[in-house]
Amino acid sequence: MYKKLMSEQKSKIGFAHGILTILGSIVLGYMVMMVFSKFIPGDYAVKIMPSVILTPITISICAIWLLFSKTTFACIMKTSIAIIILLTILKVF
Amino acid sequence: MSVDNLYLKYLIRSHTLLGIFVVFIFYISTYFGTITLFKPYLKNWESPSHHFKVVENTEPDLDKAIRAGLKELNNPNDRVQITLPSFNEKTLSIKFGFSEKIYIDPYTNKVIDTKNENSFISNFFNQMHISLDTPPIGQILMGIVSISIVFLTISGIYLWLINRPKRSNKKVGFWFRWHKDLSLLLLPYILVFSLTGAVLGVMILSATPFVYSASQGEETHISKVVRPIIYPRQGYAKKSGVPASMQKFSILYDKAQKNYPNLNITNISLNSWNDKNARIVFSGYLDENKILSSRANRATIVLSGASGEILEKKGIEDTHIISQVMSGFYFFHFISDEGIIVRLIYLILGLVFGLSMIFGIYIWLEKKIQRYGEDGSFYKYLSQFSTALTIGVIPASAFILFIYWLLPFNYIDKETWLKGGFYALWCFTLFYSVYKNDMLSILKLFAKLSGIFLLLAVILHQLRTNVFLWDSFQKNMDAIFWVDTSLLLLAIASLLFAKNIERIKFLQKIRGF
Repeated sequence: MYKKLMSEQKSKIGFAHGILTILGSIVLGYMVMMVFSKFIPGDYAVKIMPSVILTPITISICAIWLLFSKTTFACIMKTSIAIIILLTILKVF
Repeated sequence: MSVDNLYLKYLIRSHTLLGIFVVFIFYISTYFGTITLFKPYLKNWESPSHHFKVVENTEPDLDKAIRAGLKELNNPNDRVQITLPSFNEKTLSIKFGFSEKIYIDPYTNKVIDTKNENSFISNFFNQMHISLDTPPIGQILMGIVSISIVFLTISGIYLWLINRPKRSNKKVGFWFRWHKDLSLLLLPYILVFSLTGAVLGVMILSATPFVYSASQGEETHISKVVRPIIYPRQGYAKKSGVPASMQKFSILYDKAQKNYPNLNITNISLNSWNDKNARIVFSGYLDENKILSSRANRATIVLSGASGEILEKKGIEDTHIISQVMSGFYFFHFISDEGIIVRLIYLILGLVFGLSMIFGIYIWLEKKIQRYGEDGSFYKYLSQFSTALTIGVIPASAFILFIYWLLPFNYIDKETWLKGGFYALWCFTLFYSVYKNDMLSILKLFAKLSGIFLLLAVILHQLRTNVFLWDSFQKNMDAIFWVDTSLLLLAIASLLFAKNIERIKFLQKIRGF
């Protein structure tokens, strides 16, 4: 299992890789826009509505970024590190 | 632009797989959405009460018409919404809060009897477009599908950019070439509809994380914090309790128009009417900037009902930047103030996008059927399923128009029969596709059925309403005349297509599916 996670390189997208990409992109897409909503200056409309409109685009970009992982482990690492960084920004600042 | 070969494979696979999953749902939404572009005209056509003679260059008598409507609603004083006649809706309508709309003939100023009429066809097609007739689950599903279309668009552009230098000297398949070229040509159209679809379908419902983050955890409801900013309540005044006589509607209308000459007034609302603090709000769009003054950001002028004094005037320059953004965002989706020319352009774009989606499915199906040959029965069935879903929906929609005029208006459970008929015929197209297993015969029958049902719908409509084509032309009933004529032309085109299907060379390409 460990070996498979670390060294899987095949032309087909594996089940775990696919599911991780879908879920990871949704979580990351939302979190990126949450950071945007938190720091953009302005009233609630300026803070919230651009996030509502642009989240489908950030989800898609995150999905392509996660898809471009040679192993499932790389996909897990990318998702985890990005979540930790975004959570830190949201919680600390 | 270069990318690792493995990543390229991943991208192509994800584009294909996600496309196969979502394209059918988005196709249905696009198909019904394209019909919904003509909702105002279809609504007139399906309502016999709206078949009245249109007198050119005649302004409605607002005092008589609005009073007649208010009387029918038991003279409400607050939250009264009046929609004035326009190029696509000839009646004047009045409603109070969530009440049923009362329709007034603007030429006789009499209330129209709309008993047993509920605009079933236009509403049903609209529901199919918004939520596949299964709200609220369908609406959320449509939102998710729209997000997937955004992904398919971005990944499609990425693939095109990566492959452009490689493919310049390489021969590509027919379906691939057309899928790529049409999709790239329609890029702005696809992005507008997928983004608006995502926002309306799922993003507004799931905006809680953004609200939570923006408010530092204090709020969670988007409507509570955003609505008052982008849709501020206008013309609201607390009742004083002192009754007052109101100015005539026609005088107030003239005053509003005189003080805001470039405002095309489409709606009037009344607040605290017959009170000293009464307010009348005239709202509409500006000819010079329809995009920023669309439904989400109307220009308005507020007058006192008692004195006629101008209390507030709001142009688009006075509105919030997000109201303007939302106005533009919604304008390109709804085109509510646009006439027939823009709607026809959208129709063409919709048809081309539908074709692009079908070609996208064929790229994949062709590969699979060629690869597996006789063993690829699964792909053969999928091909038949996609034919029934994408083409079979046309005779099913034509059938609903036919049975709408066939069944009596006061028929019990008419809606159930209409929906039942629609779904039953759609299922029949799937059965026939699997049974016949020959694409040209299937298309021939679907075209024949569509032609016959459309022809019968036009004939029955004229017999039931007693308004024949020449009557609607002579009496200036533009919407009725053009819907009848368009359906008639479509019926003839379908029947001719069915007759000459063997001679169309292009269709020989799909024979193998």
